[in-house]
Amino acid sequence: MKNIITIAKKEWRNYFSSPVGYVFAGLLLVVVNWLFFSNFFIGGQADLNPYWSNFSLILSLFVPAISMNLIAEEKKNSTWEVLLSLPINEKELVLGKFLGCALYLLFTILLSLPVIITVYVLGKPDVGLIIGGFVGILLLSLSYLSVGIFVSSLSNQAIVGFLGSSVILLVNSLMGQEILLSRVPSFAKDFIGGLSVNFRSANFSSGAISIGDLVFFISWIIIFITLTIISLKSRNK
Amino acid sequence: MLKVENINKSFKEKEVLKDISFEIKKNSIVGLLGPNGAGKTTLMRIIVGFYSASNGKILWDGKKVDTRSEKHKSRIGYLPENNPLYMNLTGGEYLEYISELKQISKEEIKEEIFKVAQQCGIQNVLSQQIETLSKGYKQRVGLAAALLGDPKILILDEPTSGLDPNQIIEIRDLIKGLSKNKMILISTHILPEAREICERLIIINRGEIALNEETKKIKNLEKKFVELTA
Repeated sequence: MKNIITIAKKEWRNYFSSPVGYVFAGLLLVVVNWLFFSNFFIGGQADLNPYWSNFSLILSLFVPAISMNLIAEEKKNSTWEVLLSLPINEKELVLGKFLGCALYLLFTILLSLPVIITVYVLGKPDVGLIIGGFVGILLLSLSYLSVGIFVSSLSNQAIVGFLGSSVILLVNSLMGQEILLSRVPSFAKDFIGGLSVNFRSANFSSGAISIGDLVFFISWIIIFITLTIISLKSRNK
Repeated sequence: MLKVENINKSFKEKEVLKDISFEIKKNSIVGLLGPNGAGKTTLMRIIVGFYSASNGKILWDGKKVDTRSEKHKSRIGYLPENNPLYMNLTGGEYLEYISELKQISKEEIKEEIFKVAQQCGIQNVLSQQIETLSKGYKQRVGLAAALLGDPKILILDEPTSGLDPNQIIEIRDLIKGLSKNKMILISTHILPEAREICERLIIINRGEIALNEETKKIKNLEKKFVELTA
C-alpha cells in the first residue's frame, strides 16, 4: 500500500507542477459551464441533468488527454525499467498511477461545486439528484480513466493512448444512444445499452441508483486495471 | 556471492540467451562485453527482476532466489542503459522518490540521500531540475539512485556511454571506489575501460558466453574480442 501511495503522490504532483493540470481543469470547467449556462436561463428550470450530460461528453475527451501519458511515457523514457527493478510490482505501479490520476479527476469534478450551489440557490433541485449526479460522474470518470490507463500501457506513444481510448469511449458512448440502439434487434437492445458507461451514469443523475449499476462500474474498472497489469507483465513474452 | 546458472531467455520464437552461467564474487567488478544485440541488457534485466528467465536460476549465497521478490530487489542497485530519469523533478526529489520506493524509512531518507549525494559528488545540484543538468551530472544522479539503500550488488548498463572523456574518467573512478564493498556487474563497449576496472570479463556473442576469464589472463583483449564476436 505504501508504494501505491508514493506513486499516487508523484502523479498528483505531476498535474500541478506544470501549467498542464490547471489548464486542463480550467478548460474543462469553462466548456462545461458555457454549454450549460447558454441554455439554463431559457429553460427556466433548475435541472442539473444537462450539466451532467455535458460533463460526461467533455470527460470523454478530457480523461484520454490526461491519462494518455500515464504508462506510455514511463515506457518511452524507460523509467518503468527503473521502477520495476525496485521492490514494487506491476499491480502497485498501475494502482498508484490510477489513484493519483483519480484524485486529480476528483479535484476537477469538485471544482464544479460553485455551479451546483448556484443552481441549488436558484431553484432548490432535489438533493438526492445532485448527489446521484456527482456519484454518477465520478464513477463515469473512473471508468474512463481505467480505459485510458489500459490503452496507455499498450504503446509508448502518448498519441496512441489518446486516440485509442477516445475511440473506445466514443464507441461505448454510442452503444447507449438511441441512434444506434434503434438499429439493433429489440432482444439485444437492453444488453448493448447496458454495456454503455454513459447510459449507466445517466441512471445516477436521474436519481435511479441501483446496485446493478454500481457493480457494473466496479467490474468495468477492475477489468481494465487487470488488463493493464497483464499488459505490463506481457513484456516478458 | 551472486551466481547465474544456465539462464535461457526467449521472446516468442527467438532465443536471445542460451545457457548463460557465471558468478560475481564479493568486492569485485565483472565486465560484460559484447556487440550490440548480444543479450547483455536482457541478461541484466533478468538479474534485476525486470524480465524473468525462460529457464535457469539465480542464486544468492548458494540459495535460489525469486528475482521478482522484494528481498532480491532490495539487494540490487540498477542503472539501466541511457540512464532513464524524471526530467521534471530535481535531483533531490528524484532521490527521495526512489528512496521511498526502496522502502527506506522516512527518518533515514535525508541521511541516505546526503550519503549517496556525497559519494557521487552531486550535493550542490540536488535542488536543480534534472533536465538542466549536464550529462555527467545526470549519470551521477542515476548512479546515486542505484546506491540508495546500500545495495549489495550494482548492475550498471553502459554507465559511461555518451559521456565526454573527463566525465568517463570521473564515473569510472567512482565505480572503482564503489567496488570496495560491493559486487558490480557492468556492461560496456569500451574495451580499455573494461580492462582497467574489471577483475573478470565475460564476452557474450549471439546470446552465448564466448569467454569468461580473469582480466589479467587475457592477452590482447581487442584482438580476442574481434575473433570471438566476428
